[in-house]
Amino acid sequence: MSEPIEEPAAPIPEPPQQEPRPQTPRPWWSRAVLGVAVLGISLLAMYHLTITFLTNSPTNTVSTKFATPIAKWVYPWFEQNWRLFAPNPMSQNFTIEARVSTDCYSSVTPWYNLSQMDYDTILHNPFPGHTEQNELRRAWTDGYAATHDDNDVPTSDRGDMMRQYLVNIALERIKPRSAEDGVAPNKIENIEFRVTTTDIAPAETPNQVQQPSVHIIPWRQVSADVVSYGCPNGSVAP
Amino acid sequence: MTSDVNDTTGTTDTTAAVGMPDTTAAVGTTGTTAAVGTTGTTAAADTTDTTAASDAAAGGGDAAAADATAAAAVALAMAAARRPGFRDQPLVWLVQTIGQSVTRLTTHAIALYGTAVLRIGYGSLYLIFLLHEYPKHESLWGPNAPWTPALNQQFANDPGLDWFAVDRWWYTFLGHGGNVWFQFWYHAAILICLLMLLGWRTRATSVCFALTIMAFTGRDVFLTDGGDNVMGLMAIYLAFSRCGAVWSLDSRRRRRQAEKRRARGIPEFTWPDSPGWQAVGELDRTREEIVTFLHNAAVLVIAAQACVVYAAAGLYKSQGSYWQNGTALYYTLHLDWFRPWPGLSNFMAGQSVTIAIVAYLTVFVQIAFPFAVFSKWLKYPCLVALVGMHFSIAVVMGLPLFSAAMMVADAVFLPEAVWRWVGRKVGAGVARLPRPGLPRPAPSTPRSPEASVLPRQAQPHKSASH
Repeated sequence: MSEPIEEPAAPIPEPPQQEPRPQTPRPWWSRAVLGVAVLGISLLAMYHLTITFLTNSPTNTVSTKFATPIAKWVYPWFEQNWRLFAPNPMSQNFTIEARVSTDCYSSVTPWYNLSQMDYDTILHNPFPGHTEQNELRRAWTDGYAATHDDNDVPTSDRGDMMRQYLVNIALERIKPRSAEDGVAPNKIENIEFRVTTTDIAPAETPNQVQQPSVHIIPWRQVSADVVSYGCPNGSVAP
Repeated sequence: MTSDVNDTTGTTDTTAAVGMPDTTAAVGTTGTTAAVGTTGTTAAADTTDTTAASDAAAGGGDAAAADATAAAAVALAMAAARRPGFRDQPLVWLVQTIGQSVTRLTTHAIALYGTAVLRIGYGSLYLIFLLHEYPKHESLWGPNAPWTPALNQQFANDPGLDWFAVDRWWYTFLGHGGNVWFQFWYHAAILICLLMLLGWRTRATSVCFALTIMAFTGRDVFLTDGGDNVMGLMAIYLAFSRCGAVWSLDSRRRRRQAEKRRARGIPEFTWPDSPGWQAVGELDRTREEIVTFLHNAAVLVIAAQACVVYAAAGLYKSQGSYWQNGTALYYTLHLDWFRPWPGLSNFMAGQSVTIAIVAYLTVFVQIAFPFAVFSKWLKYPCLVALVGMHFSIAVVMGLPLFSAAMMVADAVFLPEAVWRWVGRKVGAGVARLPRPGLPRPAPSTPRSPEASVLPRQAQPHKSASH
């Protein structure tokens, strides 16, 4: 089929003249090597495309039966996920806040709105970076929220890692600010999160005010390595 | 998709017959259309080359000026005449057709310009990405990043340097050392992206480039988005392609070497005429053909991957109730992390009818794309719609890298003629720029003198992918 844009042939420089080489028929081994290579490459490409299809298709009989070879081939190098805003785009917005305290809660910072820091950076920014667009967002939605139930009990063995990741992101953002709120960066021992989820008003009634739901991830030590030597009586988490 | 469907059109004649001859001679294989050229006499002897009689006849008619060529065309036509039709001997016909396709695919690299565009596109995109994140690169991937190397090793289930888990070892590569290690590799990565963009020693560089993207992806998967994903996949595929054959420092070097040879009157290299050296030459020719076939397979995989991306995205969307009732874009436009321009987003979210139509169009076009690429009537409207969609995502949702990565992937579906035309325009534009102190460089693209040094050129009017 001819393409719509037919360009006249580019002027081509005169090729260097050379006498045609006397050509003997191809030896058998050359054909064999070529044949094996062509077959191998074709099979590899077909195998890859089949696996690519199966890993993108909904779970079916075939992909269940061959789950192990598929996973071995796909992870980690050929992993793919094209469900951006699909099947449904998220219909909620998150406000992730955190506050930190010294050991025994002798001093506690106010809440820091971590997600608002992202939104502020993104606002009127034609080229937002991965820090503000992916880091906290994915640490929450694909990390913590995906590996914990409503009572903050890990549902997978990656739960603790995801919690640590979220804590580390929060600490990275809080540490430059906490000193002026009474907790020096090296004194931070405990952290608490408050996640406010607000439904986006339904498309039919865009001005309807939605009641946010607040979820608190209770005070925990910022890392498992932190050691507390006991607190005086009466020091309770605020 | 990448087979020789186009061959049957036989429109190759002039361009190909003029443009191709020496390219085949250089490596000693006789392609289909090229056989009409100077190597025509040898073509008849090549038993693998029982190729397209129509091409040969048409091309032969054009090039009949040369007696030898005409004789070759006759010989070819006779060879083709011996070929049975499908109705006579379907099996023989099938075997011969397959043989022809294999010959074609081992001797003609398709979409050389398309893959070059992908190389330039992804090289520059990842370069821009790394430079853009430069102020924050330590807090994203450094040893003290929130996703610490220890967490990453635990996550990647990295057993250390184990031959059977070397891929997982690479996933944690950037976290293996301290800050000096990380800084070194970050700057090395920038350099690799630059070399990839320029096409310097492209085969090695493209392997390094794929490894670079995978190293950054693996260092923190939770930082990536669809853009990183598609760039990583395409970079891996590009490492198998001849993406440095045109528009690259490599092609410039080859061109200059050829010019130098021509100026000094040094003949083209041929293997010495002894049985041993001829065997080496035969081995080299076989290697050349395998590499060409590998390139063509890579182009097929790239095109298929792009189709899979769109089809999967479209089919997943079609299951969503918001996409079904046309309000998906309303919700998307209200996501706080994707609202760089709240006024614009609110305005668009208010256009309920328009965004419903756009949502339906998006799903239709995405699902249709894998089928549309086989029809020029559908392909270009689909591509235009997809590029428009990605452009608006880039602006409205603040996802320029993701959108650009997807648009670059679309480039492989444009025919070579378009890229040659673009190359000519760019070359002319560059040549017009004032360049004080520098000798004016030869316009790199339009005359595509690589043709004379590169073994196989894609046909100028061929579509990239089908």
